[in-house]
Amino acid sequence: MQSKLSKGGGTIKTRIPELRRERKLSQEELARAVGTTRQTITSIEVGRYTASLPLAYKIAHYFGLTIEEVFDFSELEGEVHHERA
Amino acid sequence: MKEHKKRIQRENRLLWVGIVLLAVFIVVGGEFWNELGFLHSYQMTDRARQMQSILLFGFLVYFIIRLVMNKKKLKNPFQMEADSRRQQDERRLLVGEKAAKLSGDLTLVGLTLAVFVTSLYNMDMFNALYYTLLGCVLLRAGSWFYYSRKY
Repeated sequence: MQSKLSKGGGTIKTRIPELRRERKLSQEELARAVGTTRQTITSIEVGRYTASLPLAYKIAHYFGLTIEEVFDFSELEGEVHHERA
Repeated sequence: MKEHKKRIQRENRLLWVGIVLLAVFIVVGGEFWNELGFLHSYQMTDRARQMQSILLFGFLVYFIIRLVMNKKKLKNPFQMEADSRRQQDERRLLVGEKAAKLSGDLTLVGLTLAVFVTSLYNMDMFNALYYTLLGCVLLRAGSWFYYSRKY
Protein backbone atom coordinates (compact mmCIF):
# COMPACT_ATOMS: atom_id res chain seq x y z
CA MET A 1 0.00 0.00 0.00
CA GLN A 2 1.33 3.39 -0.88
CA SER A 3 0.38 6.79 0.45
CA LYS A 4 0.56 9.84 -1.73
CA LEU A 5 2.20 13.16 -1.09
CA SER A 6 0.84 16.23 -2.77
CA LYS A 7 3.34 18.83 -3.84
CA GLY A 8 2.30 21.55 -6.23
CA GLY A 9 1.02 19.99 -9.46
CA GLY A 10 2.60 16.52 -9.00
CA THR A 11 2.30 13.68 -6.48
CA ILE A 12 5.05 11.87 -4.61
CA LYS A 13 4.18 8.41 -3.33
CA THR A 14 5.90 6.97 -0.27
CA ARG A 15 6.32 3.42 1.01
CA ILE A 16 6.89 4.45 4.62
CA PRO A 17 3.76 2.79 6.10
CA GLU A 18 4.61 -0.48 4.34
CA LEU A 19 8.29 -0.35 5.41
CA ARG A 20 7.31 0.39 9.02
CA ARG A 21 4.91 -2.56 9.08
CA GLU A 22 7.60 -4.93 7.71
CA ARG A 23 9.95 -3.92 10.50
CA LYS A 24 7.21 -3.67 13.18
CA LEU A 25 8.15 -0.05 13.73
CA SER A 26 5.86 2.59 15.25
CA GLN A 27 5.68 6.14 13.93
CA GLU A 28 7.17 7.39 17.20
CA GLU A 29 10.14 5.02 16.90
CA LEU A 30 10.81 6.08 13.32
CA ALA A 31 10.42 9.75 14.29
CA ARG A 32 12.92 9.39 17.14
CA ALA A 33 15.38 7.58 14.88
CA VAL A 34 15.38 10.29 12.20
CA GLY A 35 15.15 13.29 14.57
CA THR A 36 11.63 14.44 13.88
CA THR A 37 8.20 14.15 15.55
CA ARG A 38 5.46 11.56 15.22
CA GLN A 39 3.15 14.28 13.87
CA THR A 40 5.54 14.95 10.99
CA ILE A 41 5.78 11.25 10.11
CA THR A 42 1.97 11.06 10.16
CA SER A 43 1.69 14.12 7.91
CA ILE A 44 4.20 12.63 5.44
CA GLU A 45 2.36 9.29 5.37
CA VAL A 46 -1.11 10.76 4.80
CA GLY A 47 0.15 13.18 2.18
CA ARG A 48 -0.26 16.49 3.97
CA TYR A 49 3.45 17.30 4.19
CA THR A 50 6.43 16.79 1.86
CA ALA A 51 9.66 15.92 3.65
CA SER A 52 12.70 18.09 2.98
CA LEU A 53 15.65 16.48 1.18
CA PRO A 54 17.66 15.95 4.41
CA LEU A 55 14.70 14.34 6.17
CA ALA A 56 13.88 12.18 3.13
CA TYR A 57 17.52 11.05 3.09
CA LYS A 58 17.50 10.21 6.80
CA ILE A 59 14.31 8.16 6.43
CA ALA A 60 15.66 6.27 3.42
CA HIS A 61 19.03 5.73 5.09
CA TYR A 62 17.32 4.39 8.21
CA PHE A 63 15.55 1.72 6.13
CA GLY A 64 18.80 0.94 4.30
CA LEU A 65 17.31 2.07 1.01
CA THR A 66 17.81 4.91 -1.45
CA ILE A 67 15.49 7.93 -1.52
CA GLU A 68 14.04 6.69 -4.82
CA GLU A 69 13.18 3.34 -3.22
CA VAL A 70 11.22 5.02 -0.41
CA PHE A 71 9.71 7.92 -2.35
CA ASP A 72 8.34 7.41 -5.86
CA PHE A 73 9.06 10.43 -8.05
CA SER A 74 7.77 8.90 -11.31
CA GLU A 75 4.79 11.24 -11.47
CA LEU A 76 7.14 14.24 -11.40
CA GLU A 77 9.11 13.07 -14.44
CA GLY A 78 6.58 14.61 -16.79
CA GLU A 79 7.38 18.02 -15.27
CA VAL A 80 11.07 17.81 -16.19
CA HIS A 81 11.81 19.30 -19.61
CA HIS A 82 15.04 17.95 -21.06
CA GLU A 83 16.98 20.14 -23.52
CA ARG A 84 17.28 18.72 -27.00
CA ALA A 85 20.84 17.91 -28.08
CA MET B 1 21.61 18.34 22.65
CA LYS B 2 24.15 20.63 24.37
CA GLU B 3 22.78 23.59 22.43
CA HIS B 4 19.25 22.72 23.47
CA LYS B 5 20.33 22.43 27.11
CA LYS B 6 21.98 25.88 26.90
CA ARG B 7 18.83 27.27 25.30
CA ILE B 8 16.68 25.95 28.17
CA GLN B 9 19.12 27.34 30.76
CA ARG B 10 19.05 30.73 29.01
CA GLU B 11 15.26 30.63 29.01
CA ASN B 12 15.30 29.81 32.74
CA ARG B 13 17.42 32.90 33.45
CA LEU B 14 14.97 35.07 31.48
CA LEU B 15 12.04 33.49 33.32
CA TRP B 16 13.66 34.32 36.68
CA VAL B 17 14.15 37.93 35.52
CA GLY B 18 10.50 38.03 34.47
CA ILE B 19 9.29 36.61 37.79
CA VAL B 20 11.37 39.11 39.79
CA LEU B 21 10.22 42.05 37.66
CA LEU B 22 6.56 41.05 38.00
CA ALA B 23 6.90 40.54 41.76
CA VAL B 24 8.62 43.93 42.12
CA PHE B 25 5.91 45.59 40.07
CA ILE B 26 3.15 44.00 42.16
CA VAL B 27 4.76 45.22 45.38
CA VAL B 28 5.88 48.67 44.16
CA GLY B 29 2.68 49.26 42.21
CA GLY B 30 0.57 48.41 45.21
CA GLU B 31 2.67 50.58 47.54
CA PHE B 32 3.01 53.66 45.31
CA TRP B 33 -0.25 53.47 43.35
CA ASN B 34 -1.16 57.12 43.70
CA GLU B 35 2.38 58.43 43.23
CA LEU B 36 2.67 56.56 39.93
CA GLY B 37 -0.45 58.32 38.66
CA PHE B 38 -2.55 55.17 38.25
CA LEU B 39 -6.34 55.53 38.09
CA HIS B 40 -8.28 54.86 41.28
CA SER B 41 -10.20 51.60 41.27
CA TYR B 42 -13.57 53.38 41.09
CA GLN B 43 -12.38 55.08 37.86
CA MET B 44 -11.62 51.72 36.22
CA THR B 45 -14.12 49.43 34.60
CA ASP B 46 -14.51 45.89 35.94
CA ARG B 47 -12.96 44.54 32.75
CA ALA B 48 -9.87 46.71 33.21
CA ARG B 49 -9.39 45.48 36.78
CA GLN B 50 -9.91 41.88 35.66
CA MET B 51 -7.37 42.24 32.82
CA GLN B 52 -4.79 43.65 35.23
CA SER B 53 -5.19 40.66 37.55
CA ILE B 54 -5.29 38.14 34.71
CA LEU B 55 -2.17 39.56 33.02
CA LEU B 56 -0.11 40.11 36.17
CA PHE B 57 -0.86 36.89 37.99
CA GLY B 58 -1.40 34.89 34.82
CA PHE B 59 2.09 35.67 33.54
CA LEU B 60 3.57 35.06 36.99
CA VAL B 61 1.96 31.62 37.15
CA TYR B 62 2.95 30.88 33.53
CA PHE B 63 6.59 31.80 34.18
CA ILE B 64 6.69 29.62 37.31
CA ILE B 65 5.10 26.65 35.54
CA ARG B 66 7.47 27.04 32.59
CA LEU B 67 10.44 27.19 34.97
CA VAL B 68 9.35 24.00 36.75
CA MET B 69 8.82 22.22 33.40
CA ASN B 70 12.24 23.34 32.15
CA LYS B 71 13.92 22.06 35.31
CA LYS B 72 12.21 18.68 34.81
CA LYS B 73 13.45 18.59 31.21
CA LEU B 74 17.03 19.32 32.31
CA LYS B 75 16.89 16.38 34.75
CA ASN B 76 15.28 13.96 32.26
CA PRO B 77 17.42 13.27 29.15
CA PHE B 78 14.56 11.48 27.33
CA GLN B 79 12.22 14.43 27.85
CA MET B 80 14.92 16.84 26.74
CA GLU B 81 15.62 14.79 23.63
CA ALA B 82 11.91 14.74 22.73
CA ASP B 83 11.68 18.48 23.37
CA SER B 84 14.75 19.15 21.24
CA ARG B 85 13.26 17.11 18.38
CA ARG B 86 9.98 18.99 18.69
CA GLN B 87 11.68 22.42 18.72
CA GLN B 88 13.73 21.65 15.61
CA ASP B 89 11.02 19.75 13.74
CA GLU B 90 10.93 21.05 10.16
CA ARG B 91 7.18 20.75 9.78
CA ARG B 92 6.62 22.71 13.00
CA LEU B 93 8.99 25.44 11.78
CA LEU B 94 7.20 25.58 8.45
CA VAL B 95 3.80 25.92 10.10
CA GLY B 96 5.23 28.66 12.31
CA GLU B 97 6.61 30.56 9.33
CA LYS B 98 3.41 30.22 7.40
CA ALA B 99 1.46 31.51 10.37
CA ALA B 100 3.81 34.51 10.59
CA LYS B 101 4.71 33.39 14.05
CA LEU B 102 7.35 35.89 14.95
CA SER B 103 5.63 39.04 13.78
CA GLY B 104 2.33 37.84 15.16
CA ASP B 105 3.81 37.07 18.55
CA LEU B 106 5.64 40.39 18.78
CA THR B 107 2.45 42.22 17.91
CA LEU B 108 0.56 40.31 20.58
CA VAL B 109 3.21 41.08 23.20
CA GLY B 110 3.15 44.78 22.32
CA LEU B 111 -0.63 44.92 22.39
CA THR B 112 -0.77 43.04 25.69
CA LEU B 113 1.59 45.55 27.28
CA ALA B 114 -0.43 48.42 25.83
CA VAL B 115 -3.67 46.91 27.19
CA PHE B 116 -2.13 46.63 30.64
CA VAL B 117 -0.72 50.16 30.68
CA THR B 118 -3.90 51.78 29.35
CA SER B 119 -5.96 49.88 31.92
CA LEU B 120 -4.10 51.94 34.52
CA TYR B 121 -4.61 55.33 32.89
CA ASN B 122 -7.34 55.62 30.29
CA MET B 123 -10.51 53.55 29.99
CA ASP B 124 -11.41 54.64 26.44
CA MET B 125 -8.03 53.62 25.10
CA PHE B 126 -8.11 50.45 27.18
CA ASN B 127 -11.44 49.39 25.65
CA ALA B 128 -10.20 50.05 22.12
CA LEU B 129 -6.96 48.13 22.65
CA TYR B 130 -8.72 45.32 24.49
CA TYR B 131 -10.89 44.47 21.47
CA THR B 132 -7.94 44.88 19.15
CA LEU B 133 -5.97 42.41 21.27
CA LEU B 134 -8.88 39.99 21.25
CA GLY B 135 -9.08 40.18 17.44
CA CYS B 136 -5.33 39.60 17.07
CA VAL B 137 -5.41 36.59 19.39
CA LEU B 138 -8.22 35.03 17.35
CA LEU B 139 -6.37 35.77 14.09
CA ARG B 140 -3.14 34.27 15.40
CA ALA B 141 -4.85 31.14 16.69
CA GLY B 142 -6.90 30.80 13.50
CA SER B 143 -3.90 31.02 11.17
CA TRP B 144 -1.97 28.50 13.26
CA PHE B 145 -4.91 26.10 13.21
CA TYR B 146 -5.41 26.54 9.44
CA TYR B 147 -1.78 25.83 8.50
CA SER B 148 -1.36 23.01 11.01
CA ARG B 149 -4.38 21.30 9.41
CA LYS B 150 -3.17 22.05 5.90
CA TYR B 151 0.29 20.52 6.41
